[in-house]
Amino acid sequence: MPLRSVDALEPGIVLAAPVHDDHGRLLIPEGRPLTARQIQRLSGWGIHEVDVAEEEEEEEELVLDPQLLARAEEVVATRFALQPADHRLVRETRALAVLQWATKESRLRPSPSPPSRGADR
Amino acid sequence: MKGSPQSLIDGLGSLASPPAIHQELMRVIARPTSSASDIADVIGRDPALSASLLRLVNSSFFAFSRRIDDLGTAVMAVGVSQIRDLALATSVISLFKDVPADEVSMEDFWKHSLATAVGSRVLASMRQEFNVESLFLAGLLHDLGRLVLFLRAGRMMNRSIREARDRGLPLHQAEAEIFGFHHGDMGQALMERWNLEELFGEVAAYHHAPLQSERFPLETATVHAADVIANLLRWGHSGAPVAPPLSPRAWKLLGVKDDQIPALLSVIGRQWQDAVEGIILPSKAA
Repeated sequence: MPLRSVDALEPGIVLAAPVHDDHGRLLIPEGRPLTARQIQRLSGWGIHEVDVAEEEEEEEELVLDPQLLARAEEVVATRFALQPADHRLVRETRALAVLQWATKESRLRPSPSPPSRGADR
Repeated sequence: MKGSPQSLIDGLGSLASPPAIHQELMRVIARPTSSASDIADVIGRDPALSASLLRLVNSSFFAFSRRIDDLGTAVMAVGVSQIRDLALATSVISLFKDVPADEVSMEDFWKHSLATAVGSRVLASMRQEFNVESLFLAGLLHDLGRLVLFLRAGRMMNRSIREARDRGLPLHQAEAEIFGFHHGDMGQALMERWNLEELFGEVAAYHHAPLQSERFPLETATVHAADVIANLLRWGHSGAPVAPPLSPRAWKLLGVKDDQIPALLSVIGRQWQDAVEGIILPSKAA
């Protein structure tokens, strides 16, 4: 997670870690876009650097191929074979495992019709 | 069956003793006159360990408002027994980083153990446990016995993995058929030999049957759940081809509400990445 100097913050940037004061009181929670007012207050609190979230995730809205997802279901099925069928933790974990596998695969092999790659030139 | 856990430990050489830094920390902590800086001095003699600990203290684990750049401050901020537990966790990884195992790389093995450690720590902090680092350590050590089995009976261990894969068994069950005991029993024997607190051995022994733990059922259930999650998500690799089954009754003990599960998984995933970057990747480069 990159550390960013408070001077270089802009509204809308998302914190990767919450900001606390010296008594451990929460000043700004993580995971929500910063407002201009919050940024101003940070310097007032004597805070010079904050952890900001990586930005790549937003620009790359990954659309997963249904076939790939079906394949992912098959791949993770073995791993899940011994789990109690209708448990909430198991269901949530399986959904994440499928997504994780499919995302990794689709990064490994580029999609057949890549969106314009102008930046490469 | 090949010997008992005890006889396998006897052939381990220097690994039959805990990491030297742990013994030294225990000595310093036991002295009533010791200060945070005495403890920092002991850790400071190991530069790789010091760097890993400072990275952890500054990671998403703690989210302190200010950067901590020296060990003395780290000891005061995190706590003495907490730093001791984190130091043992980190030094065990480097002590056992070159175990030859055909079926699983040590990097993957320790990634799995770290995912279990982080998951245990997150679950413990959800119920506001006092020393969450001891759960981190318990999670990190839960499969340590498997490395002893790889070191001392590698062919039998490989056979256990093949059996588990071919028959769709949990690996600990295949181990029990082949060795007469499983990696949890092996780990408990080693941790007893190391003189660690009983918690750690008991968690290792029962992490596949958490309700059988008499003294530490809650802690054991915590590591059990974190281990199942790490196996299911293939965060690292424990060597087990099929993830061990979740005990719904153990999960219930933990008091996690259904709607907390997605956030739980994402927090564990993120903190696990931090832990891998802070501990495993640097030690690989070294």
